[in-house]
Amino acid sequence: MIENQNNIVLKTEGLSIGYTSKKSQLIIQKDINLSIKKGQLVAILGKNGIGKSTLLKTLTRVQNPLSGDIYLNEKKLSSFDVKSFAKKVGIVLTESLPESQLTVFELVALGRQPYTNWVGKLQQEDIDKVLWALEITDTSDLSEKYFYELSDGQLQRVLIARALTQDTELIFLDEPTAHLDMHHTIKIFQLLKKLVNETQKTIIITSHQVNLAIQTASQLVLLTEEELFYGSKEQLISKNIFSKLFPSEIVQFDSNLEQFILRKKS
Amino acid sequence: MIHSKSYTKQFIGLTLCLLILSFVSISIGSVSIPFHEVFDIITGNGSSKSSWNLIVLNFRLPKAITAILVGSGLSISGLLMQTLFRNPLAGPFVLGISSGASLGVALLILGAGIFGGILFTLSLSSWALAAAASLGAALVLSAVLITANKIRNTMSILIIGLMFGTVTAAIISVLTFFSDAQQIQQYIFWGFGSLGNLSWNEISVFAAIFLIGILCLLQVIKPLNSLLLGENYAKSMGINIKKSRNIILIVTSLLAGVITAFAGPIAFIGLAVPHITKLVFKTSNHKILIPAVALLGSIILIICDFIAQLPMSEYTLPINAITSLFGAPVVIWLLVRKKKVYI
Repeated sequence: MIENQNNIVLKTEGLSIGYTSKKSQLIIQKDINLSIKKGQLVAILGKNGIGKSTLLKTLTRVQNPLSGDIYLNEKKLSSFDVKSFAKKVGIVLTESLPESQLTVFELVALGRQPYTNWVGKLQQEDIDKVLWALEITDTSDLSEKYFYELSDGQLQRVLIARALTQDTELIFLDEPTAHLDMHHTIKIFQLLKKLVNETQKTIIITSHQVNLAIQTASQLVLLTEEELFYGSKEQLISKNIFSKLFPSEIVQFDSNLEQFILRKKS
Repeated sequence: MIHSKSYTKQFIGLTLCLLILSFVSISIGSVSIPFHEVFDIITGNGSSKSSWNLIVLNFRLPKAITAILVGSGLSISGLLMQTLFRNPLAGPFVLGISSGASLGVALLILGAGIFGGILFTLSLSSWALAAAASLGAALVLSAVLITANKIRNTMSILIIGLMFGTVTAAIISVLTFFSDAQQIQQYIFWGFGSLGNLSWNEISVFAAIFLIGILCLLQVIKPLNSLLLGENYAKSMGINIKKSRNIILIVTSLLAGVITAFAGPIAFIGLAVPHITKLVFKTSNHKILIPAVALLGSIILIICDFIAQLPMSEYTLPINAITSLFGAPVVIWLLVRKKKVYI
């Protein structure tokens, strides 16, 4: 099968992730080979402590890989300078924001920083981008509010708007639905799906919302202790890989429902 | 457009307020000089009374300028530290800058008493005091900068700064223990802070260093705003964290260092003015906040200086006591009313 190389945005070769200290190396996942195509919603799944966030941090250059290579548009990740990297990759983190008096508009407009002049003056083009991002994330009516006045669900959409304003090909989100109820969780997933479809951006998330991710994402990365699996929902189901995600005595994967369900006590 | 609030009114109001207050502070004192005479003297036309010329040009005008430099400089340093450390308790002196300056001065004054000789002659010169304070401040700051570049976590730098402060305070108390009353008194007087006594020569050096600090500051306005979201977001938006952090630390130490050198360790302004400004302006945008804290800081210090002179009397109280006595209740009142502080 001949793959269109130009379509691949992000590629890893023999990537090992983990932590180094002076004396030792803690390898969390090794030999990761991923090829992520443009315009996809990719969900990284796995149980707590398996390395989802570490993988995300490594792909966004927050931390360094232990070994192996990462390519962004066929260029080594490490060869980008801070500013040109900022024009390629936007992030939405789980960490809470320091308490400041930024308005929603100002917060979203900060996403234009890689493009604005030395004092960060917004040109009409920048303002248009901000207004578009507010519109598409359904947060236009919040723009004059201070961000600390927002609910968790609203704030998450505003942070997504900020990442969109940065105008990057790739957006990484670390557990975008961490503090949200079911309604808002679904709303965020729908928004991400819509963004991928409408903007052709590639969105990569980590999530604990396994069932929702399986239904929504175009590609899934499954981290288990032994191995990393990567593919579409159908590919992974046909290989019966979802059953390896969690210990089977509590939850099991039902391949007809395409969902994890609680194992009934017999 | 809806998205950019305009603060023009506030800025015009504050600028007028500053001009009027400076004017009043120049004309009122142990000798009252009519406003129109003050105006004539400042604009270069001279006054009918040569003693008034002398008072205005050699004492009150330099003092007003010093108050503006000190008030705005300390407030800007405080704002920078609060944003960099994302901690509302940070002020210009958290990095141990004031302790460093105090150590320099203590070594000179108290050391003069212990070792005598050339140190004694030096300790009587205001230039030597300023130089000792600057050297002390620079020394502590470079120690903080060196450690800062080895440490990724900004919060650790805050704690290291506090530790340097504790160590210098301990050294000073040891020095005090071995010094005699006269030297201790001289050191304590320096610690009271003073806006007067600066010659035009000293003021031009002060202003030049101040200006260098402000020029460096212009480079980090954008990074300061992105730091409001935390270092990870700032980095993801193309900000070079290490470089910006170093510039912010250098600006703070230049401003706070030179101020402490010439005016002594003046408390409260650096911590409180940024909070008062944020409560009044309700923004975190540094393009607004920097000029706003500079204006408010100058105004508040001029008012404090006015109170310190005890109008209608010949006494002048230590400025350092006034800034705290009148400032702290204001901040407490503001916070109790608003119930929240922001970075």
